[in-house]
Parts: sequence; structure tokens; C-alpha cells
Amino acid sequence: MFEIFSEAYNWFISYIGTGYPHILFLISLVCLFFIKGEKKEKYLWFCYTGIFVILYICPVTAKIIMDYCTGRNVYWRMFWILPIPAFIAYVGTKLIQNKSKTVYKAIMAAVIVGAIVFSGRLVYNNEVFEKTSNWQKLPPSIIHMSDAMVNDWNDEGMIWVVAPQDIVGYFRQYNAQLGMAYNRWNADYKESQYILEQMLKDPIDEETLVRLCNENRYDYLILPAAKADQDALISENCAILQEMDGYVICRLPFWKNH
Amino acid sequence: MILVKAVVVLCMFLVIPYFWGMFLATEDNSNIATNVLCGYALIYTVFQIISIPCTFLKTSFDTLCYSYVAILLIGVIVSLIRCRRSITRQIKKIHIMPFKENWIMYLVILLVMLQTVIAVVMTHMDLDDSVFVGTATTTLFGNRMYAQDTQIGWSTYGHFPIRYVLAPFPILLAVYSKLSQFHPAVIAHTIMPAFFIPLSYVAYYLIGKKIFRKNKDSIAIFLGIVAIVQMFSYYSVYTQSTFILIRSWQGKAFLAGVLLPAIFALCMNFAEEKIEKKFWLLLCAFMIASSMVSSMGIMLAPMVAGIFCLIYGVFRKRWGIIWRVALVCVPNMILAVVYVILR
Repeated sequence: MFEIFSEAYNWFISYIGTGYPHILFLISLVCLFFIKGEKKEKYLWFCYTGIFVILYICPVTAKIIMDYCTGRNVYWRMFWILPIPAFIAYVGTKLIQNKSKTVYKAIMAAVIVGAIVFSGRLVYNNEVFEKTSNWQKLPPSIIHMSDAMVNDWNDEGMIWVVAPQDIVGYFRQYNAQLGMAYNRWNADYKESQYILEQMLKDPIDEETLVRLCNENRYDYLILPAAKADQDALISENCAILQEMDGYVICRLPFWKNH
Repeated sequence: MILVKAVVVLCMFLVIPYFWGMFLATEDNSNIATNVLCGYALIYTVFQIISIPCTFLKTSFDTLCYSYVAILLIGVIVSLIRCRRSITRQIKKIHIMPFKENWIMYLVILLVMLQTVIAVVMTHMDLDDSVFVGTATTTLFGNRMYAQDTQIGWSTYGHFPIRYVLAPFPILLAVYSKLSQFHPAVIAHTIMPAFFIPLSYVAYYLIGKKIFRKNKDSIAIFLGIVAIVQMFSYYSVYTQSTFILIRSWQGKAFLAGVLLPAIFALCMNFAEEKIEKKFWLLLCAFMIASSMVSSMGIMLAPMVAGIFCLIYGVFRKRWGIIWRVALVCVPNMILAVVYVILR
């Protein structure tokens, strides 16, 4: 039971992250308590919040929800059923509309906006958004490399590619003709696992990597230019297709031999 | 060509939902924006109802796409005939400056436009899209649904990823892409935010309207504060506002930012003494739509209704509400059972 409780608590801590939305929410609850009238709304918000808190914290309900409804690793999504923006906005509006004097309203509005700004963090920052270079909003290097391989292939059917794991998730968003050895998390099959292990090595053992790619019938190999020894790749019968955007694309000996 | 594509996009994201929304227009959703929101619930329900059998029957994607479009168009024609008077009335009401002296509402619209423009013009890359957008490109490429692993392209050998099959929002992305001829990544990353972020505010508008009734100043202030709260919700990556503002094209973001607040607003009707019959159908549509956009919606949407049911049904001993809510949640419960059996 304590384990479930601590898991719920940890997700709460993760949810509030670097901000103080819980404090803002608590202050809003206290304010709501003192706002005159509006019994109907008070009843709704207090009951709704109360039931949510019980559902979230109570080890019995939390365990049922974790095991059968949301899953343990996304238990934080329970907070989505608590309309935090609506509740804060409701109390804020009530406080602003409490008196008719314009000066009071302006000061109250400033205080509320200040509290929101102080308790949160702006979504629009460099961590989240970057400049757009194409309307697909995919890394330009992915588009260039995909186009280069598809043009070189110039045929129907799947093109099988081994690429660095950090960019592997983007290729099939752009073109599903490209098949990958493994996904961004792991390799589903033993053979792919061996290839992934070789790709993660530094320096790369080109001989083993090319042999594994060949055995598993891959057509292209993409390596970071800084890690790729082009002479070694050529000596393993690979043809360098292009070097672009910091990556080397090479056509493997098995190319088109499906 | 781009003009034709733009018209198709407008039809898919605005016109068709609007006409469908007219079917269940109640007093609460008697304006264009709320009609569009309710229309989304209905057309997503239709998609859920036809896509799951199509996937299990292993029909081609084209079959699903054209049947869906046919149903949508029939719905639009029926709506045009059946609701022509209400539609004409609503269209006549359209003004360039609809809020008269309510200047706060214009500020809110500016804020929402700013948020929308940033989402459309700037880029946020999310690796979860290897599943969401990847499923759409894979579906279009192979003309089959869930026959290939979306992330690597290998055959799934008939083993459906049941979690995704029951929440086929990425397949809908493929439908949008096929009809508009825009790349799925363009639809997801550039076009969807342009419609979904404002839609989120329509859901909050419904909450505001339910609380403040006809007090338009209060509704405007309420929406203004919601907009500011949403903008300052990046204290963690888990918040509903973060999801809707930065990755609105993902089904779970649509669930968190649009559908759950809308369901909350709808459930506020439980407080009323008399509830229209249409309302229950609308709530049921929102429940099914929630399950269509995200597997999480299968349970989270009934939870919201369940809490309201406790507050207004059980605590006040209004048994009519309890059994109606139970009935409304039946489709989600069926999906939950299917998921538990097949996972």
C-alpha cells in the first residue's frame, strides 16, 4: 500500500515539476471558500477536487487505476481530469468581478497574472520551439538523406536502412518506404540487437558492422561523418553514396539483392 | 493546386464538423464554434465505429477512407436539409466584430491567435511522432492498417498492436492526408495546431458559459485567464496545457486539451433539473471520440463523468443521472474489455 502511495506522490512531484501550480490551486481553493454566494459552483468545485484527490491518493483506487485504467508509468495523466486552468480562471474571474471599481479590477487582474506567471513557466522557450525549416517540421538532414536514398533506389518496395539510433525515429515519418533495423528505444530482434550494439560502439568496427548488415539484408548504412572511416567502408565493398548534413550514406554490398 | 488543398482542409476541419454538429445542437451549443466542437465529437465517433471493424477485417485503407468520406458527405447533406433554418439563422448572425464593446474578448482572441500562430510557424520535434505520424505514412504507403510495425516497417504478422487499434487517431491523420494530398507530417505539425488550439478554447468557453451564463464580460475574463494559465504551464512536460500548445496533433493532446474540458463542461449540465435527451447522445459521442483519439480516453473520459455522477447523482440521490451516465459509458467499457482480453 505504501508503495502505491509513494508512486502516486512521486508522479505528483513530477507533474508539478519546477513550478508551484499546486500552491496556486490551493490558494484558489481558499479564495473560493471566502467568495460570497455561488453555492452551486462552490459545491461542484470542492466536491470535484475532493473526489479527485481521494481517487488519486487512496492506495486502493490508485492501484486499480494504475493497473487497469492508465498504466503505472503514465499515472500522471490522472491530472488531466482535473481542469486546473478552468478552476484557476474561475476563481480569478470571481475575484476580479468581486467589486465594481475599475482600479480594484485592474490591480486584482495584475495580481492574478503575476501569480500565474510566478507559479509557472512560459511554454515558448528555446527548449520547446525552434525555427522552422520545412513544413513537415522534420530535421532537414532526414529529408535530404531520405530523398537521396529513394532517388538512388529508384524502384518500388521497401528500402532497408541502418541508421544511428538518435535519428532513426524520423525517417519513417517522412517516407514509409524506408524500413529500419531498430526503433528509437530498442531492437525487437536478436539480429538487430547485434547491429545496434555495433552502431553504438566508438570507434565503429566497420568490418563486423558491414558483415552483420549484409547477413540481415540491409541496403543502406548511415553513419555520423565524425565516426565513419570512409576508406574502411570502401574496403568492405560499400559504395559511398553521399556525405551530407554531418552523415555519410553508403550503399551496402547487399543493395537491391532482396 | 494549393488553393484546392486549402479548401479541402477547411472542409475537413471546419465545414464538415459544423454541419455534423448541427445534428445535436442544443441550447448550449447554439453558435458556430460550439457546433464545430460537437461536430468533431460526432465525426470522430463515426470514425471509431467504422475503423475498428475495418482494421479487424483487414480491409484496405482506401475502403475505410472512402466509406468514411461517403458517410460524412451524406451527413452533411442530411444536415443541410434538416437544419437549414438554424444554419441560415447562424450564418446571418456572423459579424466581423461580434463582441461589440467586450474588448477583453478581442484580447483573448489575440492571445489565442498568437498561440496558434506560434504553433503553426515554429517547430517542436517530438519523437513520439515516430508512432503517430509514422502510422499515418505507413498506412498510406501500404494501403493497410496496422499490418506493418510503424517504427521499423517490419511486418506485424497479423498481431495487431491493440492499444493503437482501439484508438485509431493516426489512421484519421492518414485520411486527412489522403484527401488533402498534404504530407501527413504537414497535416500533423502545421495544419492540425491551427484548428485544435482554438478548439481547446471553445471547450473552455463552454465551461465559462455554464458558470457565468450570459455575463459576457466574465466569460471573456475567464477565457483570458485560461489563456495565460495555458501559456505558463510548462512547469513540467506532463500538463494538459503543455500538450495542447506544443503537440496538439497527438491524440492524447486533443484528449487532454479539448475533449476532457468539453466533457467537464457537458457534465456540468447534471446540476440542471431538466436535461435534454440530445444531451446524453452528445455526451456519448464525446465519450466515444475520447476513446478514438487516445487509448487513455477509454478510461479518463468516463472518470470525469463518473465523478460528476457521484456529485449530482449519488450524493443527491438522483438515480436517473446514474443509470444514464452508466449507459453513456457503455461503449468505453466495451472497448476496455476488448483491450483487456486482447492485449
